[in-house]
Amino acid sequence: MNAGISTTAARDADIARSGNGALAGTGTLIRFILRRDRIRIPVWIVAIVVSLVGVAQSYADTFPTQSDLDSRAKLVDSPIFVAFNGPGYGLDNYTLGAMVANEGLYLGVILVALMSVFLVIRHTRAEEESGRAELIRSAAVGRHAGTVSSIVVVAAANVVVGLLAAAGLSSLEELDGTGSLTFGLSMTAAGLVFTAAAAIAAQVAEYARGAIGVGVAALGVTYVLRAIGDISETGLSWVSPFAWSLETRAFVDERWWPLLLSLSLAVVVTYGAMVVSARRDVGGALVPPRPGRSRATSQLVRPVGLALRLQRGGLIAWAIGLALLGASFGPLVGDVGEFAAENEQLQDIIAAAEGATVTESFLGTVTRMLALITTGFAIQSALRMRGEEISGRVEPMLATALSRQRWVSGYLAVATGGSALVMLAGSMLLGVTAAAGQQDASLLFELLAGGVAYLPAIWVAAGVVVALFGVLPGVVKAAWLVLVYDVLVGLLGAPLGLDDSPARNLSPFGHVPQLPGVDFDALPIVVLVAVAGGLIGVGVAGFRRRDVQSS
Amino acid sequence: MRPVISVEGLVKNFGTTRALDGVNLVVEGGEVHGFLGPNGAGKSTTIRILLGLLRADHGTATVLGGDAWDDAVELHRRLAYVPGDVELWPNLTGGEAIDLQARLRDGFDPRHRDELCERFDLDPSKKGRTYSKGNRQKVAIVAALASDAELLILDEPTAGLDPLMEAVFQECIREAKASGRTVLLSSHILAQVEALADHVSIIRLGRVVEAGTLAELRHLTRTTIDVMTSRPADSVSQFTGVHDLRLEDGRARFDVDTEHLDAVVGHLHELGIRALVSQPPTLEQLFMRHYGAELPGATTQDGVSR
Ligand SMILES: Nc1ncnc2c1ncn2[C@@H]1O[C@H](COP(=O)(O)OP(=O)(O)OP(=O)(O)O)[C@@H](O)[C@H]1O
Ligand SMILES: [Mg+2]
Repeated sequence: MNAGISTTAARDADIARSGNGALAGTGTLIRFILRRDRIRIPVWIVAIVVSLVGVAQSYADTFPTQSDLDSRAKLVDSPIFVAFNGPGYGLDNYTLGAMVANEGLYLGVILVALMSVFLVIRHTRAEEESGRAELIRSAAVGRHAGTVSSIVVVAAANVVVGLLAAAGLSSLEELDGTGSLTFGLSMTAAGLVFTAAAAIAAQVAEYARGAIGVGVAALGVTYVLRAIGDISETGLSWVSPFAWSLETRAFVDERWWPLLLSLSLAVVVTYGAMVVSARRDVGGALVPPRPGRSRATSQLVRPVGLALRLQRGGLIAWAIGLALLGASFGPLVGDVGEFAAENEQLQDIIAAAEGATVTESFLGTVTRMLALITTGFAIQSALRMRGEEISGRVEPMLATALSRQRWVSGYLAVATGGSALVMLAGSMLLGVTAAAGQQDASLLFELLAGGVAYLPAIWVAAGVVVALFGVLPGVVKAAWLVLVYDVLVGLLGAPLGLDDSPARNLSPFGHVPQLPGVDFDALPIVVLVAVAGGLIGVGVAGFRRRDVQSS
Repeated sequence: MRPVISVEGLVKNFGTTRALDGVNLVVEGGEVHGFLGPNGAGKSTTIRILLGLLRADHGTATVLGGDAWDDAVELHRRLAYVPGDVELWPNLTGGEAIDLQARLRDGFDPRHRDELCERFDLDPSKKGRTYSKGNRQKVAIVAALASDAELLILDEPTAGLDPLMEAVFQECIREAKASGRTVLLSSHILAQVEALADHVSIIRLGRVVEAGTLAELRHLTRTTIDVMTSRPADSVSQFTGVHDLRLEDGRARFDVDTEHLDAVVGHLHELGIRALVSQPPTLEQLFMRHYGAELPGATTQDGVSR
């Protein structure tokens, strides 16, 4: 199946020339993508800009005086913050601008990276998977047109996001134009890196889902490498686009050269993607398909068996990803503790702010982050039901003696059981590494318990998917808003001043005791389990009543 | 004996589109029933209702004595379905997809399955992603035939099959019929329906406009006559049931409704027949007549798109 490799040399020559032939039709495809995504792309852009400006505005409201900012600066200098937000700068005279950059830039980078990955894959690998790309390539369209047109559109979207974010930020009284522009373009530069990374991911994986996984994994790896580098102060951070963006030092003493690193990497990776894309067959991947079993095992024939088989690869990847994440943050607990021991004043500040010791609060935050990522898995996994329906694969299954509720139960088991597995993989590795670092075995059990405490909240998100799937299948993807809201409340709740507002109650994450460090309260857990169960019941009942749809 | 499929007054709306507008359909046990109609007529919609995948707005759909919606799961043990557009899981093999469906029905026979794979020249160890259109279709056909379902519901089952495989398919359907199974066959391949079906229903704009045996339907259509007569045949135009008459020096070509054939040929005889070619009504003509605008009452398009 590697017919695509045979004329490599000739094709390389083609790429080098990259004449009109290889790019023919790019303009048409760009217009086509813009037309298809005339709503989607603006929604991404507006959502990202609005969240960033909203975060900046709420910082301004929450920290109105210089003394507020000064005490905040002490917190920013702590290892917990360094691990999540990078090394702070401009702390001697902490301004709102410095705060927005130190505490908001990574959020912006993550958002543009996700936008880039989702959009690029949507127009490259997903198109090939559906077979539509074949139709387009058969027309007078060059070999690189598909990849290049997607990259051009997404790159342009990144530029627009950066400029609009700059405009939005500079509209705030305390933020100056240069700083805002530096902030915005730092986001753009990182977005371009992940646009290129997604273009490579689209070449490597055969399915869009897998390609998105590769793209998001790249995001995770670069974030973690930076965290390790920043905590250990080894300079490892300099391999990560996260660091390059922060090193522009927006709002303090701006410098542009770190962005050259992002741009160079983006160009090199894009070139790589084009080389690979020209070498392989349309619809093919670098990994050729192998023959498999010609019979189904009796496992597969059960609803759970099929749902598990379809998501096995993804489940394993998520579990490994979370385990690695946990294992990268666990060892940092030693540094955090040491740092706090030297600085009793800081310890008090954190204890007052978080109601726990420094290490507990650090581990609690990491656990919360793991739980948020696991929620992403739970939602994605439960959404698989809708994917099966739309693709038309569910019809023949439901035309057998398989009832609708049994069919749902398979996917539900993977979404709930799988999210438990993914969460515990993260908590386990976090616990083992933290316990080893602290010589304190009880930490492992506390962290496992902390992880388990989040499961009902995660299942509520899966329950929302099921409920929408049954009752309002057309908008089932709106379930992602649960995750967005959980992130707002769970990670940004304190700085946004959401902690005491009733809005917090709307997020399942607002109800989970953040272990370790606080007293365990069983009531919210029980309520969350009941809510998840209720949502699932509604969804199943709805699905049993409605038409099965197919495109 | 009660019919295997009995559909009465079926109505289904998708938003403002009326897909079915009072469909009536009866399929008796043991027959191969051709289900024909132009694109968008409502064949697949009717079939999805029979499978309990869609819920009818009005009317009743009874399958194997049970209600198509309420008793869906129980009924599905005893019937098998082949869709016209088979989607497979990209990372599951064809063999796994076959087992997945066939084992969820009564009377799955693995040996029969292997035998079918051989007859259809299907490699069940390949991943779904790598099958061609025709091979995906074969996967669904083998899955449906591998169990001994009493009723086969086939929605354009052979779209994309090559002629050789088409022949194998027809053979399999004949065997199914011989063993007493009932088949509902929706198809655009008229030769296939002509070869297999004993009863036919034609659906158009969400309504069954014609139903009966092939012989009965043939009777409703026209024979084409190409004749040379000693005396000019202008007078033929005065006969009822003669259409599209063309006359050129002693030669006449026209279509005649089969029920008036006798009278017209009698008249031609009087004019002195020197040569005569008569083409029997083809199924194709029958369908052209029903699919096209020629259908009596086809002008009443109301109630279809409101
Ligand atoms: N899910 C749906 N939503 C909206 N309209 C639909 C839907 N499914 C079918 N229709 C409409 O209902 C009508 C009947 O469609 P159906 O698929 O039953 O036709 P068909 O006879 O099977 O056609 P074909 O020969 O092309 O397969 C068409 O007008 C179609 O556009
Ligand atoms: Mg159809």
